[in-house]
This record gives sequence, C-alpha cells and structure tokens, in this order.
Amino acid sequence: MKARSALLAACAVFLVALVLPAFISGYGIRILNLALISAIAVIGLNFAFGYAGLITLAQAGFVGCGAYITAILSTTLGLSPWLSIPAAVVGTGFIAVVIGLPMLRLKGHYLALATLGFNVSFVIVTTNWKSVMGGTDGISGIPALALPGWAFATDHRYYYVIWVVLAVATWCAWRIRNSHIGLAMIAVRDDEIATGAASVGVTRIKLQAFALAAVYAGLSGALFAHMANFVAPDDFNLGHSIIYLAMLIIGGEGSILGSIAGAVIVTFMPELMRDLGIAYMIVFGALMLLILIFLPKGLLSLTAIVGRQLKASGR
Amino acid sequence: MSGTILAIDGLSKNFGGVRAVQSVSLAIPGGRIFSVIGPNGAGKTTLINVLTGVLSSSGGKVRFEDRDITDAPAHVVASAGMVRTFQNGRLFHRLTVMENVLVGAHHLLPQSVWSAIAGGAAARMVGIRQRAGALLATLGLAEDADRLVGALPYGRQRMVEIARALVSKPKLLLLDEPAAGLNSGEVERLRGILEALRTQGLTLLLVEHNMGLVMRVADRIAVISFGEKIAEGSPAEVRADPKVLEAYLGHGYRHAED
Repeated sequence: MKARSALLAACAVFLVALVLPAFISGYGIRILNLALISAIAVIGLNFAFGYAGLITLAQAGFVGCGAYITAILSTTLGLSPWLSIPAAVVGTGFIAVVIGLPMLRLKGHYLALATLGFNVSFVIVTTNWKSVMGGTDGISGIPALALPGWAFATDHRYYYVIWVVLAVATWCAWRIRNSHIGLAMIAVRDDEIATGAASVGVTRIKLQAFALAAVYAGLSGALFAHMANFVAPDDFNLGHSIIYLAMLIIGGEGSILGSIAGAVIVTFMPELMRDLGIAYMIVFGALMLLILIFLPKGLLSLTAIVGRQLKASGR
Repeated sequence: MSGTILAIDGLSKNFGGVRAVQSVSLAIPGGRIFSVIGPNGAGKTTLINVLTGVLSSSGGKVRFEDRDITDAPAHVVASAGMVRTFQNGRLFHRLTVMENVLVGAHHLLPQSVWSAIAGGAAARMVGIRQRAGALLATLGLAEDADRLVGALPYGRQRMVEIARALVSKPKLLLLDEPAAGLNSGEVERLRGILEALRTQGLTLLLVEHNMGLVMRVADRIAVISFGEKIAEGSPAEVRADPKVLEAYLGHGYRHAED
C-alpha cells in the first residue's frame, strides 16, 4: 500500500518533470539540470549512508572520478561520449571496490575520516597532475552528447538526457531497495552482528553499498562533465561531499524520493535567496538545524504527516 | 541416534587473563535437543558466540557435519546450516516482521546487485516469501507480517528471531535463552515449537536458564561452570549429579539439608 503510493508519486513527479522545461527559461533550466545531476549522486549516497549506515565523505570525490574519466577519454583519447560515460561509471565503481576493501574494515567516524582522506587526495591529485588532469585549469573542450545530426548541446535538450538517466537510476534503486540486497543493507546498519548471523556476508554487502554509491556518483559526474564541457578540481572538493550529505538528510535519508527532493531543494535554495547574499549561509544553517530537530526523517516525511492529517479530516 | 552433527573439541576462549571457556568438548547428536546449562557467567553465551563466528576462538576445533568451521565468519557458519538466535533478541528495527525474516534467507539467493535489478532473484524470492509466510503463521505472527518489528511485544519479537533462523533452512538451530523474558504461557508455546522442530528432524542446541523447560524437552544436557564442562548426561543423570548441585547452590548445601 505504502510502496504503491510512493510509486504513483514517483510516476507523477517524473511526468510533471517531462513538461517542465517548456515553462523554464535559460538559467533556470541550467540549475534544474544541476539539481537532477546531483540527485543521481544523492540516490547513490543513500545506499551507503541511508541504508547501510556507512558514513562516507567521499561522494564528491567519486563524482569527480566519473567526471575526469569521461573528460580524459573524450578529449585526449577522442572517444565518443556514448562510450566514455559508461567507462567512467565502471571505472568509478572499480576505484570504489579497490579503496573500499581496506577502508570498510573501519567503522563510524573512522570510516568518515578515511573517506574524507580519499576526497582530499582526489583534489590534490587533480590539482597537481597537470599533464593528465590539467591542474587548477582543469580540462576544457569536453564534447556534448550527440546523435547523428542532433547534438544535446543546449540545456533544454540535455535536460531530457538527464531525465531519462535519472528515471532509470531511480527505477534501479527502487528494485534494489525492494530486493534481498536492499534488505540486507538496511539490516547491516540496524545490527551488524545479527545480520552476519542471518547468513549475510557483512563485508560483501557493505562493499556493494559503497560501490553502488560510487557508481551512481560516477554517472552523475560524467553527465556533469558533458553538460559543463569543462571540469576542474573545485567542483569535487570536500565541501561538495558535505552538501551531498546535507541533500540526503534534508530530503530524507533512507528514501529514494527524499534523495531527489533534497537535491532539488538544496540546489535551488541559494538561487531563491540570492538577495540575501552571504547571509544565505545563516538561513541555510538554521533551516538544516530546524529540519534535524523537527523532521529528523527529512522533508519528505512531511508528505506522510500531511497525508495522515488529510485522511483524519476526511473521516 | 543419527551420529554427531556438531563436534566441539577442546574449545577455549580467553579474554585477557579471564578464561571464559576452557577446553570444552561436546558431541551434539543429530535430530535431538541438546541443552547447555550453567550458572550465570559460566560461559554459555561465549561458547555460542565462538561457535557461530561472533568471537574468535583461543584454541580447539569445531566440526559441523564433515566441515571444519573453527573461526569461520558468521555468515559462512549460517550458510553451512548452523543458525542461531540471540539472548537479548537482535532484530532489524527499520524493517517489518516479514522483511526481518527474509534477511535470514539471504544465502539462498544470488549475491549480485545485478540479480536484484534484473530480477534474477525474483522467482526464488516468491518461494521464500511463501515459506516465510507459513513460518510466521505457525509461530502465531501471521497478522504481524507487515508491521514494524519494534511495534511487537517482547515475546513475539523472540518468535520473529526464530522465524528468521528457520527460513534459512538450518540443520542445527542454536537458541540462546529463548525463554528469557517470556511468561509461562509463552514458555509452554515455545516448548511445543521446540518439540515440533525436533519431530521434523532439526537438531537443537538449547542454552537456557529455565530449568523447567530444559528438563522437559532436552534429550541430553551438558553443564558448564566457570568455563568448564562439569557434567553431561540425560536430564535425570544431570539432576542427580552432586557436582551440578554444588555449582548451582555452592559448597555448603549438604549442611543445610542435615
């Protein structure tokens, strides 16, 4: 019943989103594209943090891995973006498995620190390895996605690419959440010892959650690279990892729709409060605090509360 | 008797200088209810934790069927067919009763993420869901399947743990004080369930404080005190063993009788 209403809500949101660009002008659509690209990374983070309880501060680093892999493959090596994007996704997942194997022996804040270290290292490497990664100048001239005779060069056109990818990513996440793999991830966070005793390989399931987070991040980063046509280290620093975490918590951790909602809200908020200037950070901080205190399950839990109220008043 | 299913040989566990389990050897016969009893702090739960991979051993060997599972990780032990419940009930509070039970069947399903997306696990999941539903029904939890597990009273939560263990198709079920915190009606119900499981051919290793329950259901009993096995035999033999009385009541009990 609950799953079905969530599914209906998701379908409704995606259908509305399909006609949305007709009503939004140039700059707005760029922000919307950024929001939906972030949403993919946040859905990924939800596997690691929301389900499996892995406190990871590496999400922006993985987004950066995806962006740089596709950037290098499509500029230096001249590969088609249709091939370099999947390569970026697979490559990022591979990196996550390699660093996850040793890191996931750590728990709680130790894991947080280790993943933070990865994100910081990523920025240092991209900044200093000038010959391959372009240093602080980054990599420019990344080609847009194109079909024969049709390039997704404008933000309005690219929006539909992102829409399709986000829809597929959401569907996959929903399938995983409702499978034995998703259940085991949630179980690991609730009680690791009992999960092992219930025949779940705890190390394996944590690695799967961590790698899924990275795969989604890599996809997000690759889409970003082909929209901005330019990548630089600053877009993937630790601050962005914390923003992804904030998006997940504001939207509703442990919820796929909450992940999307959080990404959209947090991306649009500074635009809506542009007049506040730097004071925006105070408002953002206060809002975050209020949500943590009054809506610990995120803004999406508001819909459940409102739904209950409507039901009660209907009777 | 269908031979030994679990052979524990000289198993030890030290915590620093504390010898929680000292060279305990047990042969658990298949298809029977074997009970381990002992005073508080005797090392019973430590023994179970070492057997099931929650703690590593300090010495000794554990063989399950024909396989050496000494210090095997918890999920390997569970997948091999030796599944446990916990003394204080450990459930997954963000999941419903049905979902809690389904976690126990994890090793029966494909392990890749792709199987979840593409639906390779779906057909087998249908069968497992049916079996889980039937288990919940026999344990009196049919109406609770879709409730969050934390909403259940304590006695029923313990039944959810047993269901989670049974759905994994174990050959040996280790129960760590399943009667703790149950009222007398619930203990009676538990006794019926344990006997029914034995009838189905399952081997049970029951660690329990409730003597009334143990003496009535156990086929064989081992007594542990200060980490050592001090007696083993049928319920009648154990009850009459002076060493057992001493462990439970202390040295002076004969004087009190005089």
